[in-house]
Amino acid sequence: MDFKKTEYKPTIGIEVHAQLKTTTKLFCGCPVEFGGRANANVCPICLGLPGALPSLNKKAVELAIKAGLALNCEINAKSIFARKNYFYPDLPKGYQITQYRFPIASSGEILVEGKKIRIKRVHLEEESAKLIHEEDKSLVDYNRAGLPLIEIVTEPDIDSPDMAVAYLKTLQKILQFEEISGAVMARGEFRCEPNISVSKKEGELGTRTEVKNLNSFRGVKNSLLSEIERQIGILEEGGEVEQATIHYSEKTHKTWAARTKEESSDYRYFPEPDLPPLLLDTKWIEEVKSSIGELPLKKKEKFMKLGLSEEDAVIISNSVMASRLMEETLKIVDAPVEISKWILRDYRSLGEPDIPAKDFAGMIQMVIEGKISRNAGAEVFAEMVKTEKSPEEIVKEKNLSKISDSETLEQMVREVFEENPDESTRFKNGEKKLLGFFIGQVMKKTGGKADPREVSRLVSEYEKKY
Amino acid sequence: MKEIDIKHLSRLANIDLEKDEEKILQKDLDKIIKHIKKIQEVNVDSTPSDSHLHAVNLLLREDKTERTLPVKEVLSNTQNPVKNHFTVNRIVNENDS
Amino acid sequence: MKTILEYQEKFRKGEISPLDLLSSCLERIDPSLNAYITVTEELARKGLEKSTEGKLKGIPVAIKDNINIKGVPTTCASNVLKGFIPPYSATVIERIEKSGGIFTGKTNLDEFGMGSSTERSYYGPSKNPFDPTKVPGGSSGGSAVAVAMGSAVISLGSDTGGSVRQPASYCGLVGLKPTYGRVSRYGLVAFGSSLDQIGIIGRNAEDVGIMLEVIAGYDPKDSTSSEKEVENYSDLSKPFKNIKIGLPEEYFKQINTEVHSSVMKIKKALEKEGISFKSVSLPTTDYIIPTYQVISYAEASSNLARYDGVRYGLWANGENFRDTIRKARDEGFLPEVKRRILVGTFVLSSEAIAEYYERADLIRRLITREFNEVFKEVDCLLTPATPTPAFPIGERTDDPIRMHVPDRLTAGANLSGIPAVVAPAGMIGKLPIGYQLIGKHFDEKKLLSIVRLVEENVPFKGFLNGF
Repeated sequence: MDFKKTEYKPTIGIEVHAQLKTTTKLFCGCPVEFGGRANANVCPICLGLPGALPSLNKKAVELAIKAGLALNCEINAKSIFARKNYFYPDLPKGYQITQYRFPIASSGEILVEGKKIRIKRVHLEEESAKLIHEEDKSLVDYNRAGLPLIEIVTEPDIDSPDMAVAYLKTLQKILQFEEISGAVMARGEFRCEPNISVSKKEGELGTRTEVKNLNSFRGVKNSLLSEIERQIGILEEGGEVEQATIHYSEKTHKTWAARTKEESSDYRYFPEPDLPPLLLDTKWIEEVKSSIGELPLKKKEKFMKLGLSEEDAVIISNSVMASRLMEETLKIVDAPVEISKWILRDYRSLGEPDIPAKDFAGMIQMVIEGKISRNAGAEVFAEMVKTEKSPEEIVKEKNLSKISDSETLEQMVREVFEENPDESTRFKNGEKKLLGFFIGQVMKKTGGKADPREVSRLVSEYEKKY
Repeated sequence: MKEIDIKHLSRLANIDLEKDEEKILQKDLDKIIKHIKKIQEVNVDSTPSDSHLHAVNLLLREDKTERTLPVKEVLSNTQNPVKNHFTVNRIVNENDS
Repeated sequence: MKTILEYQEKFRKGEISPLDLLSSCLERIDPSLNAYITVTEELARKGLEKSTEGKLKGIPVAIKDNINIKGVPTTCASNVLKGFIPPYSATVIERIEKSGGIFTGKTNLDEFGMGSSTERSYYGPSKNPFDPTKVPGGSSGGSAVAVAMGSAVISLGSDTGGSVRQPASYCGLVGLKPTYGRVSRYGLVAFGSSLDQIGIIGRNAEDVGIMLEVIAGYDPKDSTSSEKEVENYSDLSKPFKNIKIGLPEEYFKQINTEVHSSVMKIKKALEKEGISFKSVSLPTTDYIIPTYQVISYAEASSNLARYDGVRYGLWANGENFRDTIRKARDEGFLPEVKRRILVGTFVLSSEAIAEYYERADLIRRLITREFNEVFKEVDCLLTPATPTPAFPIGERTDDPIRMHVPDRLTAGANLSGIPAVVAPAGMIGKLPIGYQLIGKHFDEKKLLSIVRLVEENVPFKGFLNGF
């Protein structure tokens, strides 16, 4: 079903939980470490031992302020922590310390593909422990308990699954660029929970359902499309959409609805008595504000040190996408100037498309190694953007490998000389500028698949011999 | 205000109550709530708004690692750890209240 | 028994050794009074071997069993913490150790601090050493008994609604609840987080002042602790001139005639020293108990949610996770704690929160403002500590309302965060009775100085066995 062809309009809001890039947890000095030994990064506080008390991480507050500012929010000079009370094995205290009525930031907005998406609020909260489910029991690892998170909530301004994905990508880039969060979905650093309803009537909203367990942007898109279809189906049959939690399986690409229980948890929020109100002075907020976008300058300097001209470094560092691609690609191919050429020219001319650094690097590597010509490289790049295929695949399919074995080339050189007797004679007699002509002819014969320098060498050699 | 629903409260608080315990506690709770209701009498309109209850500033902690507990000590108080993990019986009905 | 300074003088002179003192203290433990849940003789001896210098060098201290000492069981007098041995010590414990103090043991309390008689303990009631058929008060009853019977020179308790001051009154001791935030709560098992303070129970104002110097002060681990500088609370010799003390009329209602006259005796003694008195009014006094109940029960219901047997404590076996923890909590908590958790859950529930919890919070601010207003006219208040002396064991055990009655006099200080101290006013028959001074924020020194003044003029003759 293409919902766009129906009278139904989807309304989508998204909640994102992003893990902040700090050294220690939100309320204690335990280290934040991905994949550490189970229960090795734990203390009385994050374990919820009797008598332990929370102590707020300054860096986490700084990053939360930064996130708020980057999303054009008002930073609230006074914000209050609250307890969200419920029981679950991943919640050591039997409550989560979060922010409820008075979040650290509110009323922001960002532009996504030209549309304004309003940000309702940004607040700080602690992460829960990790559960590993086995058949008859579950295992609990508290390393993750207490990690610092920000929750970013939008107003229901998103009107399609594509826009939802675009929003998430934009948000992710902002968080990564400002080094607020690593925001890597696969590591659980960036969790999205969209909620969605459909309605035929302008201004009227249908019943919302929430989608959980999403691990990829593709999953976001598919689950939302699936849910729109499901809701429309119900409404078309005259039924009512019930509040539900929608689960999505990455494997089967299917969604299923679990009805929200009648008495869904009463969280009994109340202000956290162990933490006085968080008061932020304007000076600090201003300092954080001025640090936004500080990163482009640092990146520019880094790129210049690697050999780029100032002009080139400026262009790349000022683009979130370009500088990220630059850095990611550099990890794979150590050829900064070469990479920059491709970014400045091909990448930018195609509008900074979303391309995996691995593939980008792969293509560049092949050019550097002489496996394909520069022109071939450009063709591969365009094709990668269009089809999402790997460079190796494309080179194979389109037969773009350079002709590099000398025998074939020599043969072609000979042929060109034989096919152009006049020019041959003139070249032998001293018209050196005809070198370009011969190179051109050989290149034409090879369909551009030869290395011009190699051809030049062979042409000169041939001339000497014969 | 309705009467106290002790079944609902014991569910929220996750405390099992036997039938006769429930009856006794229902009576107790009703008595206590009746007593507490006294606070409805107070005129709270003249309350100082937003006054800080206790004059303490929330001081922030530097983002530096501190010593963690050795894993052995972490698990020392639990009954049946498995592979350095705590164990719980199987969880039924996610997000049960 | 002697004061802390007197003992340390004897140590210096070589008249007795710290080991001698520890031994005689431990010998004076009367098991029938059930003051201790755990006696820590080994730990104390090891502590003495370290010979740490400091203000509490060689002084045996009893610790209420809701304050963590690393490696020693903490029970909170509850079955739900069965077998729990904390892997860390409370900040106050570390400070006492650094000052040379040693621990005689963990003392009995009402489960999780919830009660005013130390009868609601999984380990049975503690008994008043002046009359073992009477309660010692609560919830820090064990700590009071430990000091009253001479098994410790001084002790720590906790005070959420009067739990340090009330036992002090019933056992003829000095009990101080400091200003909220004066002493770190890190390592104190939480009951009512915005009300709890670790308090001191000792034999005289100077001892209490010395202990306060040791344990008070900012702790980065407790975000509610204050940065205000620690004064020399034991230097109480300088009399304060021109003090005016208020007598809040509401606090003198509903009290025993003999209690009334013993407090008036104190008033007279202070008047002789040049202190003037003024009658004042605190109209919100009648709302103190229900406000205290709503707030403390609400916070308790949340603070006690962590007791599920997963990481520590009583493990029950159930069919699934939820079943297991519900069983553990049913078996683990005594009725009073269950009552309070359920009521606390109720006042925070969505249907009730506005009328109860949020309202109580507003009233609390009114109560606080009332104290602040009164302190513009007077330096502190003199009140009875308890409406009666110690009552019989079993008299109020099953009456959740009646048990709170004494809180009317003490919980106001917790709600407002202000300091209050109780000291002996005299005897009523065989039983001691105390008086209370309530002061401004961080005015502990003044309060202790007044107690000292009273000690010099009206020395308490009720110490047991001539102590």
